[in-house]
Amino acid sequence: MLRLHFAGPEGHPLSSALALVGTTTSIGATLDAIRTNTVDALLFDYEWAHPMKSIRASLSAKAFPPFIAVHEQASRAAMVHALACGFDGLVGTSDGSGAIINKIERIVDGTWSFESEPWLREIGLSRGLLARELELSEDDDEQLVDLVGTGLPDEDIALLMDWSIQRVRNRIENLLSNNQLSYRTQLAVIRAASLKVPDFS
Amino acid sequence: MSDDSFFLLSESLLVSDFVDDPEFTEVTFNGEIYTLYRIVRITHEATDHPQGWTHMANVVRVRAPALGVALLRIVGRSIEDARVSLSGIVP
Repeated sequence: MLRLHFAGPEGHPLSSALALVGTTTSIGATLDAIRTNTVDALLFDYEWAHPMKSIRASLSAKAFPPFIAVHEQASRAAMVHALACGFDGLVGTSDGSGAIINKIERIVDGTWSFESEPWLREIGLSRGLLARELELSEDDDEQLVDLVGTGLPDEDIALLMDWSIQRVRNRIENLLSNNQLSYRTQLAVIRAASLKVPDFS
Repeated sequence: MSDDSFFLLSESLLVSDFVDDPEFTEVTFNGEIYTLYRIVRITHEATDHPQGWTHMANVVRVRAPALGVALLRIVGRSIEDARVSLSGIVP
């Protein structure tokens, strides 16, 4: 029987639907639980995706179980977002506890992954895009990506940085190239999503 | 890009006679895709072009080899806008 831990708000439907070895209702308690308990999979409310993404990115490669997001519907949009966050799977509470357990087992034993879905392979989205740390090679790259992350167009960024539009665009191109990104929006979203979870311990 | 607004420039002119930085980025696909080019030579100057282009140049794509021709809007030794047409020959 799988040892499952659930992280999410109190009264979540999944917490009563499955046999769990632990539940936590805060990010800090979840981080402690991951570090101290051995579980086969960590399930969490989809609304917690961004802090869970940061937690997963901060853990060493050998130290954590599969991260599986729980959404009301395992829609394609939710699956794409979960893949981009670097999670290992997504289950829908509307699927029923039997189907949920079956999918969790397949995620844990490796017989199912996002990459096994043909329609996801066609998109060509790389796992963990939103969990990346941007490589910043110039001193003022951080200011530049902060402005890109606020959604400003190049012209406004040029005014704020007191740069020519040519310099702004060349530097954005350099950032995209160095970070293997194809689109300006990816740079903005990664920067905007780069939430750091401090380790108060 | 046949256009009566463009006049042939002398081959003795250097890129540095026109711009401070010979590299520029063309932005396409509704502002999403950024492609870096380097000017090889500025071949033509435009006068009162209806779309605001000021120069035409031979360019090379920096990240992936390709040759092209660029329409440029140069203001104050800086390239404000560009549109590139690549040659049909791509290695």
